Amino acid sequence: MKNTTCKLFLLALIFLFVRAGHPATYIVGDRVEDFNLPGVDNKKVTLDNYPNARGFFVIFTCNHCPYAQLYEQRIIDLHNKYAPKGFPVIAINPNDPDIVPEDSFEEMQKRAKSKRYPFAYAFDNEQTVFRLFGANRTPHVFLLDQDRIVRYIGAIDDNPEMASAAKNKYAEQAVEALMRGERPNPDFTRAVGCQIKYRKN
Amino acid sequence: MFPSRKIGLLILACFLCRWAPVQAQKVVLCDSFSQLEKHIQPYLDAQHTVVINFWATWCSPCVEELPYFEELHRQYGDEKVEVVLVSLDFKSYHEKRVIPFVRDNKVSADVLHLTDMETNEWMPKVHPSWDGALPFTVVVRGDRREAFAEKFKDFAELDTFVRPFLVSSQSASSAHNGSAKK
Repeated sequence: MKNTTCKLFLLALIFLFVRAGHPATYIVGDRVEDFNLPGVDNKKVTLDNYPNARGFFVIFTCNHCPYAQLYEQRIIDLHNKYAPKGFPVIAINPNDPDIVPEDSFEEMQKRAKSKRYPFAYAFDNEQTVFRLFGANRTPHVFLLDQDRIVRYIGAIDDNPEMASAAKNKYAEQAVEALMRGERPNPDFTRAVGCQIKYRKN
Repeated sequence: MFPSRKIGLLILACFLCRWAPVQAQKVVLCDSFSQLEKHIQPYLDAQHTVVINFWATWCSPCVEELPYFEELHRQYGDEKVEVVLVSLDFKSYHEKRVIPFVRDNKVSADVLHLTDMETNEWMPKVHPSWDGALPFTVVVRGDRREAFAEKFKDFAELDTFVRPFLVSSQSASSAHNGSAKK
């Protein structure tokens, strides 16, 4: 009897250990942990930096990806339109520069300067934050509310090639819904993007 | 020029085309996902293994792994394995990028250019786990379907992924032996 209890305890421990080794990624409705990443201005980027924020657009993006480049101006516009309303953009580059040299921290600094990024551009150098978020591609948007709960995951809009031809501006519709005190609908969209380039251990 | 000579040249041209060592495929433009489904349905009905790779000319890891799919097409062409390369380039790239790319790289597997913008509708039909990151590959046979959500590091990795789907392990081993002899 004692033996069985012992075995069960061990099994439970192993289960917990395995679960801890593979933490689940965020889905809509999950509360996000704050992160602390180096920004292109050499200051740390955290959610706590924005005490007056009513929410955030956390956007995984990068320098090299043609789709990220197509959406670059739209990310700038999103910040310029919604940061004054309490929803700043925090852009995070999750790519390993050993795989894509164009996505190194120095290259991020150059790009942010030349394109005059009005938002924080942070480097997920340990590649932990994108894993926690469950980001797969660039660009990949996570809209958080005031309580840092994920309310929308997906694309900025439905026309990567031409912003003016987009029928659905998903990210804008989602934040507008939040500002009205409603839940975004849709709260999850799929779109073409560049796979995040991660180190394999 | 005499008509008979014209015909003779035509026959010669046809003969040369027919026997060209590598003949690039025509790129089929699909405006909707249902056209892609129609394209692969006969393969599925015939119980063939269908390897569908989603790529784009602008996606460098996709372009890097395309030779592995060509190799797969060459090695398993007679083993009821169909390789379908689905470009997700913009429609405006059809003439200026996709067709020249397929021609210049002498791609011999099926190439479809899918321009369906309703990604939310059709991507989950490819595989529920797929949210749009490229490259992406699924292998399908009958009701079995498996996804590979990253770039294959070499042909061996792709081969290992597809092998369990081959019609029988016997044919798989014969294909393997066949390739080993080359």
